[in-house]
Amino acid sequence: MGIEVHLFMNMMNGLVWGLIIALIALGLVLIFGLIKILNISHGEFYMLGAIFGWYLIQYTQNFWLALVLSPLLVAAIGLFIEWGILRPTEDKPIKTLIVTLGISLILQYTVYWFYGGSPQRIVEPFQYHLTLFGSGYSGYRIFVAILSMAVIALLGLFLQKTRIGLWIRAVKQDQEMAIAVGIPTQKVIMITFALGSFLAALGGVLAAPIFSVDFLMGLEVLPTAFMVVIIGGPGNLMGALGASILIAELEGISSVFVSPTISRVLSLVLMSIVLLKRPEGIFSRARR
Amino acid sequence: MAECLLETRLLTKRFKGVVAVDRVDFQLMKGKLHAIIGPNGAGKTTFFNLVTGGLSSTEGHIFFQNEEITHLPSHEISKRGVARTFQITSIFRDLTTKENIWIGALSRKRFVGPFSEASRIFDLRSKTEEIMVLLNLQDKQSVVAENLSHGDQRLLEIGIGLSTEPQVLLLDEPTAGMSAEESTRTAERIKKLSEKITILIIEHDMDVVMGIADLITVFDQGRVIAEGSPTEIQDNPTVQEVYLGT
Amino acid sequence: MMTRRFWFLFFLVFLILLSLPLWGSSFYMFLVTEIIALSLFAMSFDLIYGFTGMLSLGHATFFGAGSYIFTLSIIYWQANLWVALLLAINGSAIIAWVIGFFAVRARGTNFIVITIIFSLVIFYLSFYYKSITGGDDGLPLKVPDLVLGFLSISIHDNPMANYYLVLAVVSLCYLFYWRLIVSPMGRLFVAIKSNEERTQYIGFNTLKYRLISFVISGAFSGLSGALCSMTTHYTNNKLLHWTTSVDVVVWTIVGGAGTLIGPVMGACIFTFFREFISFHFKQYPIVIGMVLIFFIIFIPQGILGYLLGLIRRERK
Repeated sequence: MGIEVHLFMNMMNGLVWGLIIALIALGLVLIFGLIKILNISHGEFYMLGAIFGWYLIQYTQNFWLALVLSPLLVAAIGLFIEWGILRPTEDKPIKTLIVTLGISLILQYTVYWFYGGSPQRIVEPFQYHLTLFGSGYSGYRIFVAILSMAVIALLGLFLQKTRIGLWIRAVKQDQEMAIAVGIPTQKVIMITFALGSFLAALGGVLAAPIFSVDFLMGLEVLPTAFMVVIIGGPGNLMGALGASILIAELEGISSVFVSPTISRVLSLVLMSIVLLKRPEGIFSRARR
Repeated sequence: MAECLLETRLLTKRFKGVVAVDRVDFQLMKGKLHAIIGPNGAGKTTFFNLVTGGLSSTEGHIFFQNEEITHLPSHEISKRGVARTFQITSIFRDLTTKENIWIGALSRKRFVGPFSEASRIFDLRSKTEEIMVLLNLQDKQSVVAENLSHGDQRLLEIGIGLSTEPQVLLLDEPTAGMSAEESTRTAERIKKLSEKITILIIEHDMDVVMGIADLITVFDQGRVIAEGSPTEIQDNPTVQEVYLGT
Repeated sequence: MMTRRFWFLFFLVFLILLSLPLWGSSFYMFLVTEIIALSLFAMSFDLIYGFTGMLSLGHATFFGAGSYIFTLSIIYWQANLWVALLLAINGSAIIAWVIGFFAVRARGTNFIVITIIFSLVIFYLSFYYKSITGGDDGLPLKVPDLVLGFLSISIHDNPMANYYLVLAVVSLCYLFYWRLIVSPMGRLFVAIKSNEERTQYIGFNTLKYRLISFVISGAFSGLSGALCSMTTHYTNNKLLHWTTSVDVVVWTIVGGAGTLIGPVMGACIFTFFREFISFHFKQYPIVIGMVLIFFIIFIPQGILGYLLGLIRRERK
């Protein structure tokens, strides 16, 4: 009885975590696919989402308000960063990458300055436990899973069905062509950046009650987010979703049998294999 | 008895629905100056990329001196004696002229060590001198490649190729961007080089080609549509049709 | 760079360093020892970034690995000083080989991502294995005496001996690096940085040489970490942390990549900065971030690069 329940719990946790990672990774893939800039500070958007969430909850005691407002605030910061700092340097990718490195440091330690170094907790907004297999499972986590799936589905619809979504996909495919056809590319880039940071921040707020909130939490998700991009294939949104779930489940399931350390190493091994055998990603449709 | 150095059989490259190179049978004979001409997009540079290992072929075989090289990476093919230059200048921009050629010469050494002092290796130094003199670049040997004139950069491009002591030199539009005078001088140089090395050249400038080539192959839409001496090609109606307007 | 003026400056600096214990306070001697050890890390990073053109954002892995291998081999195996140092070099080299094997197969951005991933995962592993690594509490260590034949010199209790040992080792490494960059292999690294594709087309297997560069860099970064721990009598997993990886990147960009000395200058400046400013301003990485952004945009050639540019213009 024990191990099946344990396994099931871990699978559920893996799904929840995988969806949160998906939110972060999708943001990363969107931005990278569009402007070919690897945003090292992307993890900090996740962190800022959680931090702003924490502050908002402190002042308003309202989780739902924080859930909506925090990502919007972070999106605004993302926009500012894109406009003020990244835009002037968008010519050389290495240069921009190092700039995002600097931004990452600034964001982390500014938060450290005001928020401090000790991790804080946010209480789950509702204490509801669903009974599964004779054990209680956090209703909040299920909510997170459902909300994430909804947001991702909305994102998909947005990209496929709206005009802006079409523009985003066009600029992603061929920026020069998009300019030639009259698409306001700069605006598209700005919107994508805001969207990407919004998604990461949303993931941060959702994750906050489950894990703790501290100024380094961006670094904790960064390697996983990057692994997702590599395994799923750069620029491949569906791949990112698939890889997020895959990695999270892999780590979740294996941690039942082996220590969490080994499961981390396992995903590292998976990533290494993908790099060797299929550098374009597991889910990529491209042929060599 | 002419020896066939480079040969392709039914060489094909497909990209997502576009056939860039279509079942090409080709032979490059030793000692010849062989030219490939054709309109833009005919697959000439793709052909070069396939033959030098930069692109993997979809179908077909490539042979160099009767050894199959179809799936070898570019550095292996270079080691066997195939050198190539690029249409868009691909030199070592932050190195000096001398260093550019020196690196090519280094590639023929069996052991690249971290011990000796590079500038003291005598045979590399003399080889580098030789090639610089050949291309008349020795006065600019200490100039950083980025600061050379376009024409000199194109010469350096060829120089790097030569420094690897190739059996076959593939030149991709060597006179691209050159003035008429420079083109003529370069064409003469290439003709002189062909006395010692087998050369395969892609060219757009018809005057250059007609003047120096022994044999011309015409590509169109990935296929070979004609092959022959300069006069034969000039009189060929299919070729004239393809070049209408060019 | 190898002008008479350069050699004069070089020997002057070397003489100053050689005589430091005679006129410097023990605090400064300790700081300078640390800076010299970190200089090795800086030079090793420059090898792959400034010379071979590969940006690694996970170099702390090798630095920290060297430090831990050194420390753990002394604590658990009672290794003598030479053996501990050698193990640190070799261990880091092996780790660099494993990571490099995957990393060099990727270009540009992907390469960077791989170095980040390995580095962060190893850092988090160091927390899980806290019982061995001591996590962020770290491990104190008693440095064994230096044994030369029948002569036994205390390093742990003798800061001056420690200083000279570090100076000697790093000077030798500097000479090695200098020889390396003027050698054919060194020139090849530069060619790879300049135009990797063309380097392949002239017959070099660039993956192999990038890996060699990466392994040498990793090995000596490990030695640097070991020397640091030898000096501070301590190690902790902050040496494996992201900020350490970023530090060496900052030193190199601000100091001047591709010059070997530039990153050393950067290490100097920022170590002093950290020592005197961080006490009052614990959020000093904000300043580092801003400096980094400023330099990469406006002075990408770094301080030394800028100075060299001035000298070159002055000559004309």
